[in-house]
Amino acid sequence: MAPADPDLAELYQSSCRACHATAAGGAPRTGSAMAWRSRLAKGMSTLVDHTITGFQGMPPMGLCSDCSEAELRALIEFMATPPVEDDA
Amino acid sequence: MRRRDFLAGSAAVATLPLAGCDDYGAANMPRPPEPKAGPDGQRLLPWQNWSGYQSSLPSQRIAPETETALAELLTSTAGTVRPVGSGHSFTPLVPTDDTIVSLRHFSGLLEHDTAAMTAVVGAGTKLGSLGAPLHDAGQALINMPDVDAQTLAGSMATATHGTGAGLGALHTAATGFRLVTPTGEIIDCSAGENPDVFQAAQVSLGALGVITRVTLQNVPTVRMKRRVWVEDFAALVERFDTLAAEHHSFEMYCVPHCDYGIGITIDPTDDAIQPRGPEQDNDAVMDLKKLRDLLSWFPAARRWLLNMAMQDYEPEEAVDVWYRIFPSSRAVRFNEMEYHLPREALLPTLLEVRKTLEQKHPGVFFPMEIRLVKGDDAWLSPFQGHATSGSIAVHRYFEEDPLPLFRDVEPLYQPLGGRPHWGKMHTLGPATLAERYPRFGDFVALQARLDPDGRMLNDYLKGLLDHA
Repeated sequence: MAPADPDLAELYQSSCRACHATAAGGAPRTGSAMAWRSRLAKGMSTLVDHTITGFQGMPPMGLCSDCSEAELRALIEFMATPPVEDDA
Repeated sequence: MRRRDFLAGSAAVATLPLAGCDDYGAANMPRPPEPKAGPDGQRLLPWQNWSGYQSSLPSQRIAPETETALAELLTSTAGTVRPVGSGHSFTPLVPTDDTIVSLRHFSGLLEHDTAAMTAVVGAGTKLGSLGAPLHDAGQALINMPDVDAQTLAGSMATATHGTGAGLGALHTAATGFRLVTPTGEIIDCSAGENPDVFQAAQVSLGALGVITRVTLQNVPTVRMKRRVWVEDFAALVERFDTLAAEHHSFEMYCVPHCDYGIGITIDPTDDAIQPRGPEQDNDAVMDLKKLRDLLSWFPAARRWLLNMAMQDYEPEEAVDVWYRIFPSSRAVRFNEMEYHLPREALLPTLLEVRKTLEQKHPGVFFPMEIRLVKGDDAWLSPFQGHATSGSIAVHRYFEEDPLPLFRDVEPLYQPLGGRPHWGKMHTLGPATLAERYPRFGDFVALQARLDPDGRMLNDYLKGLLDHA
């Protein structure tokens, strides 16, 4: 899985994927509704704050030193969204 | 260790009282700056390193897309400018409240030469993103650290290294690079072109300008076998030299408050692929923490339980393409001190460090890491002038004050002329560094020539290079 936006995909690949694709160190796995449910319940602004300052195993800014707040928010939204499965 | 057995033992002692709920100096830990609004009304984002120990509140975070734009930025931006990688250094190399520059757009494999086995790589490429394209081009890095989150530029700037008696640090694989200087010059450097700048900027602390692209001397891509085993610590120390001589890459972990150590070898192989499987190290470290939390007041029981768990460890073997063998996931954060020593001093010093750590800092649970690095001639390389350097790294959990441990361990390295890893915590100043690095004065002079206004120097670097 990767974001559709190429710039965001590059950021995901270089900063998020190593931990969130494998759930390393307790990171919520990308696309896992179960893993993200309790995090999303805290509210998006809390998740963005935790991403900026670091939280438990999550390093500050997710190692993306030049990410903007909007990019961090978009990356969280991508990782927290389960993949869509067609019914057909 | 076998986690099931360890957890069973831990559960048995979980009924015992906690060790006084010691926070291990957590209250002393630095906090990131309070957020404030920038000129555009948006909040300024603090910069912090991976562990969270270092921080600043830069007014600008810039990611130029071309070398020309970078040169213009360096000449036109007011205040201090610091290049930033992935923030994996524990020393305050980056913090500035002025401008930090990301190399996000100087990334990826740019070109390669199959006959020469060289590759030109964007300096902002993270090591973990370098393996697949190099492998597809038929190439492999000569060696790799066990952490691959760093950028190539950051790794070189701090003399980041892997392990192996015959394997140099990452900067030794660079045969040339392009440097954008603080005065806006764009210069190519190699042994034959601007050789002084080349030797100085191989390990530059990011103080000479910004490196945008690097030519790497690689080797043909290769499959590697990684073997991990547990062995009686004294026996492992006894066999250290033999293992180091017999294997392409060898390192040892010393687990505090335990009579066993861990050996890891990596060697080229033609064996069939057998992937590494899920990473166990992060869970294992947190198990060590759990045992510390429960039994730091009862050292004999802690040692007994840890020994029991380690005895049952079954050796692991994995075979895969090189870039899937060298790095490990390090999701449990820490702060670190690592010193490089003359090879012959390594093992006696390790025993002293282990004794100090266990006797004076029973709260430490992170294993010590012992590695070897081949010497080189870069001016600020900690391996300069050594045939082989021996390295000892001690770590402290990121929420616990690392300074008391580091204050007790660091003096052990000083009579040996120890040189710190540039990205890991230490207290050496310019007078001592000048004694330990024959070309330190030349580096300082070159820095002043390339950066006459000192714009690449934050407060830490001004002190380190005696520009205060």
